[in-house]
Amino acid sequence: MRWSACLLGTVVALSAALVYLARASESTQGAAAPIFGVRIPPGYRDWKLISVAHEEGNNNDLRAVLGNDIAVQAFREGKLPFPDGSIIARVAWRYVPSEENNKVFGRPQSFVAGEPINVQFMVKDSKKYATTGGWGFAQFKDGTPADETIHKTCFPCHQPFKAGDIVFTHYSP
Amino acid sequence: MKSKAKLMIAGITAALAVAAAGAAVSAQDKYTLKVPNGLAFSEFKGYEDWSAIAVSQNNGLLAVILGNPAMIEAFKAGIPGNGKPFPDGAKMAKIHWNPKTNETYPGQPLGPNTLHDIDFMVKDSKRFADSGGWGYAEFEYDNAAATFRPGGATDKPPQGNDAKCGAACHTIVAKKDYVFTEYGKR
Repeated sequence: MRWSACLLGTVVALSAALVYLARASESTQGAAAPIFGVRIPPGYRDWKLISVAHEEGNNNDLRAVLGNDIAVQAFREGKLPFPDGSIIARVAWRYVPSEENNKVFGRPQSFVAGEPINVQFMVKDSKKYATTGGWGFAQFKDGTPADETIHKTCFPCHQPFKAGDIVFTHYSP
Repeated sequence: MKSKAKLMIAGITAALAVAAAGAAVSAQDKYTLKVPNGLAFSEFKGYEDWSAIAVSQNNGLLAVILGNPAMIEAFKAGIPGNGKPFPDGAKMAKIHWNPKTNETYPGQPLGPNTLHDIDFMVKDSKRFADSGGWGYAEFEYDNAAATFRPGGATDKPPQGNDAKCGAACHTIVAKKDYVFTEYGKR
């Protein structure tokens, strides 16, 4: 009797600890970005590819633009505006020369993705984000959202591209 | 008059047949292509839906390196940094694009313009035992004709009638199980 009470107590304590741990990891993984309240969508790193880009100048980065299934289907079918539920992820890494690769080519011609810079998301919800073209915007670095000032710059920059439902990226050929 | 009409119909039919054949040729089924004595394009069916390993730029061309689920899982498990080889069945696709600058976009980013070529790698330690366990293939894209063709001796890298077009270069990274690309962290 005593033994079973002890076992029960241990199980309850362990369960409580697991619930606490699960919540703690959720709160660190799931901080919401200011203004739009967008959180990092789980599994986005495995999403399908929409396109790539290299931006010189201050950013000097290599980027991959990924989409969830709704967004990728819309891109492939050329469907505009994007349907609600579309999410586009833009992942950026430092643009670094690859000494390893250049040894093979015999000259400095190869650049690869270095350290991660940040990740940005666009989330389509035509009702929730009606005042910003139907899109919510977010930027995170190491899981932490950027501040409100940065998030205020997203929509004004995207706004002119009305022909593409304010999305810059085209589906790569 | 009757025979003239018949002749006309025959002519139109022939013209239509030629047009249909032309359309069939222009809509090439890339999955019927195969490097002689090497890999078939069809061994990589569905690569458009694979997840991104990383992006790169080489000799001006923009590239993405995609991996099938076995490849992505291997990277996430710490391969090849943990000293273990990629499992048989792991596949990669590297898509090269001719780039263009998007002048009207903020930051004037370089993006894909036209498809240049697609390179494939597949791990099969028995089938490709004599090239580090990897089979390689390269398919060049002709943008004007919208068709692929297997790369040849004059392409980069030169491709013979085998599945070894990448073996010589990739030997330099034998310690990383012959894979140059590292999984882009997030």
